[in-house]
Amino acid sequence: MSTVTEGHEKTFFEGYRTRGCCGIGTACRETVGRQNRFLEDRKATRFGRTRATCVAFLILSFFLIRPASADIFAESPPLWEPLLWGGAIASEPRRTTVDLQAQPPQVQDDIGDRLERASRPSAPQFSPPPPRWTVPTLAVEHEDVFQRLPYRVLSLRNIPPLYTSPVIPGEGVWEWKDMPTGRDGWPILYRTTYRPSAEYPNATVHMLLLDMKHLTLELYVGSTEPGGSESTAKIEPDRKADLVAITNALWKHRHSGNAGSIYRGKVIRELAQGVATLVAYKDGSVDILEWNNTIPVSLVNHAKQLRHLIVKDGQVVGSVVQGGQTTDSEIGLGYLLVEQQPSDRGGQWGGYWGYWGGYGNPGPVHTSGAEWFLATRSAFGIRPDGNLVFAVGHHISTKDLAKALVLAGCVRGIHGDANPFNVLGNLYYVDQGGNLYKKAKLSPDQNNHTLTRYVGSSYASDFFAFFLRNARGGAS
Amino acid sequence: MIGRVILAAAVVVLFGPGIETEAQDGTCDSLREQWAAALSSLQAGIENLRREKEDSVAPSIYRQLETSSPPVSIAKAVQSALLERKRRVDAVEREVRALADAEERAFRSWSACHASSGLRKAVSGSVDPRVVAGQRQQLLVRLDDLLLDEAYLQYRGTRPRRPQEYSGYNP
Repeated sequence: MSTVTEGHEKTFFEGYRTRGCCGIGTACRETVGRQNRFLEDRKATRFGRTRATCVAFLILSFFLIRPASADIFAESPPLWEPLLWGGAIASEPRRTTVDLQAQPPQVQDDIGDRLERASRPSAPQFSPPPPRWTVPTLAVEHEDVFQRLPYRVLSLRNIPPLYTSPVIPGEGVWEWKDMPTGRDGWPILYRTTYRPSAEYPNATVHMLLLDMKHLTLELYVGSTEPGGSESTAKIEPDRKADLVAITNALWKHRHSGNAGSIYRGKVIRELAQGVATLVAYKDGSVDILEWNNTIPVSLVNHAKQLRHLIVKDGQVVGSVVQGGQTTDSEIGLGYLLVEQQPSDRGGQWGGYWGYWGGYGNPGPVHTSGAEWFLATRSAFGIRPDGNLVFAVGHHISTKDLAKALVLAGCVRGIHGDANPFNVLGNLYYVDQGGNLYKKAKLSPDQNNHTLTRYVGSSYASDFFAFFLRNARGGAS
Repeated sequence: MIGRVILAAAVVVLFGPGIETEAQDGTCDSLREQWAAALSSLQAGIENLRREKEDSVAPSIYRQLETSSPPVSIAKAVQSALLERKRRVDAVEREVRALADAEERAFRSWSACHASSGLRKAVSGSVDPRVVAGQRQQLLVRLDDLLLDEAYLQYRGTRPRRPQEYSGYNP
């Protein structure tokens, strides 16, 4: 048996010899014999130890390591999904509270959130499985927040993206950077982009949150609409200095059934009981509600009605009653719903947005078939704090648009125009001298020519304009 | 002995139904009176619900605008008044639904009794439930209208969407 051939052992015996043990006949042989036995014992011991280690490792592996389930790599499921359909939420999106009293934003730590949730009473309706995913961290630009001045507090809750790939930068994060501001430079508008649909990943919503404590809403009646004329269909020159945004309104009168409207306190058509109504009162406050005929019309400055609420009690309205039967709540007018529109944005965004928007071919394509409800749409929502959210959605259903409004904190919502040539959110930038120096679109898929209307020239359809409130805080 | 038993059985067969019908007539009258009382309660409940629904929210709105401290916006005052109204209407609706259930049960009991007694013998002077069915139906249609969510009054005369027109969502 060759015992002293390997590195460690060889060194060991070399050292042994060096100490002079093998220099004397039998004694040396005995010594060598002992050495051999010693090495055999030692090898056996080492082999035993290795085997025991392996067995222990296997046992530990058996108990500690489980095979990965098939769906462990799935994309983040929407934690808030049950809330939209009437369930309770078990894990809330990260909250970003922007305290403008010269404080940095208080981004609650995830652990803090979990502790806070743990201390709340548990919700009986919904028990989700333990989370195996990570809620994406939402970026907050501290520098920008520091630039805000004191006095104003607006609670903004960012929306965790439903899709992690491909990434839309800033998805679900409310931003005011590069937006029109108040006279003092303070934020009055916030925007974000979001993909709310679990079924249609290319349904994209662009949302505008309007701080109605500092803004006032005015209805302008389209020149071809009842009660409309050239003068009611464009912004008055002396109001341009206060203009910050224009959005489309609701449907044309002839498509709106029994819906009514009020323009500057004058009833154009009687408001109908129970119909969803966007109303601006004479004190500048706004609301979205099911109209009640006993609300004094004398309190109303502007009102427009359309169909039913698409968000009610903070939830998406999933069904309605038609002809005595419960039925689907999607809003549409058959062939008048349009999915595609000419894209005039050029090549810079064409690839990216062309993919997500799906607007590769020019010319309108009316929706039909099983997915007739996917169209360009708009909607308005009201939050409990009285602030309004305007949403433009592309390739989207009524319910997914409503879902986006719910995620934006809205408790009631109404459908807006669904004609892609009229669906718009225009932003207006006015300098200190009251001169309009820049215009921008809310949605990159919005037609460029929508920016040329309303100011300086009239338009055929109704629209809403948002102005800075006057110094007294009331409507201008 | 056997002859007496047969005789007794024959007496029961011959005269029994008549005795029973007379007893049932009394029960049917009582059931009819119970139904009439239930119907009257339901009519009162429907009238109450109609009043609640038509009751103006304007006084509540003006009261809040005048007395609230700190002052509230018109939007808040209107929402508050509508919420108050909704609570009242919901409570009355629950009562009316319970009254409608009670009326339905009373009517079924009376109808069943009348049908069983009518099979054996036509009772002179008794009221046939079928005679009041039309009047009752009118009341129930009015009740359905009142209980319909006001948001969907606008769709009362429209054709319901067909299944192929559904969006695919079924929350």
